[in-house]
Amino acid sequence: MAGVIFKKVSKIYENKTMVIQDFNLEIRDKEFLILVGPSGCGKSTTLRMIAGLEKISSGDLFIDGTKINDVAPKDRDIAMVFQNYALYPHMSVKENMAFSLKLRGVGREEIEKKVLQASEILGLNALLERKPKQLSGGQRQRVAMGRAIVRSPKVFLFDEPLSNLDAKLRVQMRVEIAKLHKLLGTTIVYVTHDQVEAMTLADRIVVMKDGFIQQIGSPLELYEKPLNAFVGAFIGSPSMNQIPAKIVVAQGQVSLQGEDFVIALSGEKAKALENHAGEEVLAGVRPQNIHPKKADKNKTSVLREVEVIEPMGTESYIYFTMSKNADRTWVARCDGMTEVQEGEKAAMVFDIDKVHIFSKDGSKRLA
Amino acid sequence: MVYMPDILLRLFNDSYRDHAFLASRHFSKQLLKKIGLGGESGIVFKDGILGNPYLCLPAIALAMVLKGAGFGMILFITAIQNIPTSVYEAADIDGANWWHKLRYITIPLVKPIILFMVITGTIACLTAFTEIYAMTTNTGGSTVQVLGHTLKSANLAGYHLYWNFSEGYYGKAAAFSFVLLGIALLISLINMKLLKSDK
Ligand SMILES: Nc1ncnc2c1ncn2[C@@H]1O[C@H](COP(=O)(O)OP(=O)(O)O)[C@@H](O)[C@H]1O
Ligand SMILES: [Mg+2]
Repeated sequence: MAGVIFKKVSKIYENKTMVIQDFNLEIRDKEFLILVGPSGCGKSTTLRMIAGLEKISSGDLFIDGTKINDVAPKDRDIAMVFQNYALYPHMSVKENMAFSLKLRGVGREEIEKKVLQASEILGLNALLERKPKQLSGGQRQRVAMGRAIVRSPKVFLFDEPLSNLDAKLRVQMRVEIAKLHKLLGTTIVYVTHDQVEAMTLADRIVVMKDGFIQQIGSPLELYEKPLNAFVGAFIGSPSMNQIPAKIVVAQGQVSLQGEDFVIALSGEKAKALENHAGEEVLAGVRPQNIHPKKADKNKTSVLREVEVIEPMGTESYIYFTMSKNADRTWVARCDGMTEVQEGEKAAMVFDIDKVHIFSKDGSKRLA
Repeated sequence: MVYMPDILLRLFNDSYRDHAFLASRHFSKQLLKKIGLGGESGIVFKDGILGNPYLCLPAIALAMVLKGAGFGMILFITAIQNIPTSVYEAADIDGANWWHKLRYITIPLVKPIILFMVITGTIACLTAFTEIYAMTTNTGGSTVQVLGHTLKSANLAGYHLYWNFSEGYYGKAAAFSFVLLGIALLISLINMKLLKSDK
């Protein structure tokens, strides 16, 4: 039983900037919760408040049912892995991992046992006598995790633990962190700006922007039902194509109309948008819901010139200009190789039931 | 006495981190005033501190410490500020109190500076001349109390050397300088042994 609860928590730094505002969140026991958002949105601040490294300006914070607003970091029974690892540079791997136990007066044998256990799990056995500067980035990362594991804390806190690693190692460590969570079953609060990390690791994701929670949900929920345009664009890669449009209802047919396109809607989307007739909206389509075809008689397609094709082997990205109003080139993603050619006109077929409709300012999901 | 800069630093680093310069200036000024060197110097010379056999040596030592303190402080502050804050935060979470942090993190990480300060400090003491000359000549060469013997205040290492030299005992002065070198080397070696960061 070690959940973390934020009740109306705010954080104001000395320079009077309100970094976190009215933050309410219930992190469940044994949950892998990820805070994700663009750089500077207050993720680290939130995490550091849990750790006790930043004071809470107002509101209450509970760990395991106990209010910990004024509890010192060492008494919160949490462990943290820092972005720069923060290993003790003059101590060996073993000493780094043993330090917290030693300070807590744990017996020598017990320390030895726990350190060995952790180093076994993390594959650090051969490195125990080394100093941090004699380790690679990935190994340091492991030591930082080892230092957290030996304490068997109630909650693990990770602050962008993988962002200093190269792409390949990042994938590998991601898998190891996932395994570690399965193995230990401890509550993990994990901060990242990388939505791929968030999608692959999290039980639940909290998307943040400018100190506010945008949406809380499972990776799939966020992906399929983003509550606003920001979440829609932030989650998923390549990111969601978005364009301003207007809802038009004529003879019972609901359609999405832009200056240079009309897309007929049907089914639930159409039903949900019926009474928004004439309203300006923001439409979003994920790249995998656009299928460039040589020809199509369907009403759900628009004819556009294929500008660039990026073949990636297992998938291809097809770039085209949806509208002169679109703020960027649109991209479609298709499995394997595509049947269309660069420079030719292709029918862009949309999965109509997968189109996301937001209010004009993007703040609200309409359908 | 050579550890003085370190102690001063600990006093000021936490609360005055960004004001170290100010702090050391303010501190020295106050201190000088307290011992009577701040302006009205009546109690310092001749009949005062430097004329007193028991206080003369400590006074000279204090002057030398204060002289070296600023330099030491800068070295120590630079070294300490080079330790990432996150290391201390990790220690906070690991359960360290201020003493643990000082003992297990700060001191081991500034060991090279400690070593440097101890060696240069020791050598400065062994070859001390300017301070002794400037502070005691005026008093007509008062006496100092060293290990129960009353010596002329001038009979202190570096100054002693000068004195032998100026009196024409060139051979003795040269020999003495070699002894000093030996002592300096020995002390430096011992320091290095004691403070060697276990690589
Ligand atoms: N110690 C501080 N004093 C003042 N402002 C800070 C401090 N730390 C962070 N901030 C500000 O708070 C905001 C959120 O920072 P942070 O939580 O580190 O963001 P993130 O981890 O999401 O990138 C940023 O605008 C940052 O400039
Ligand atoms: Mg951050």
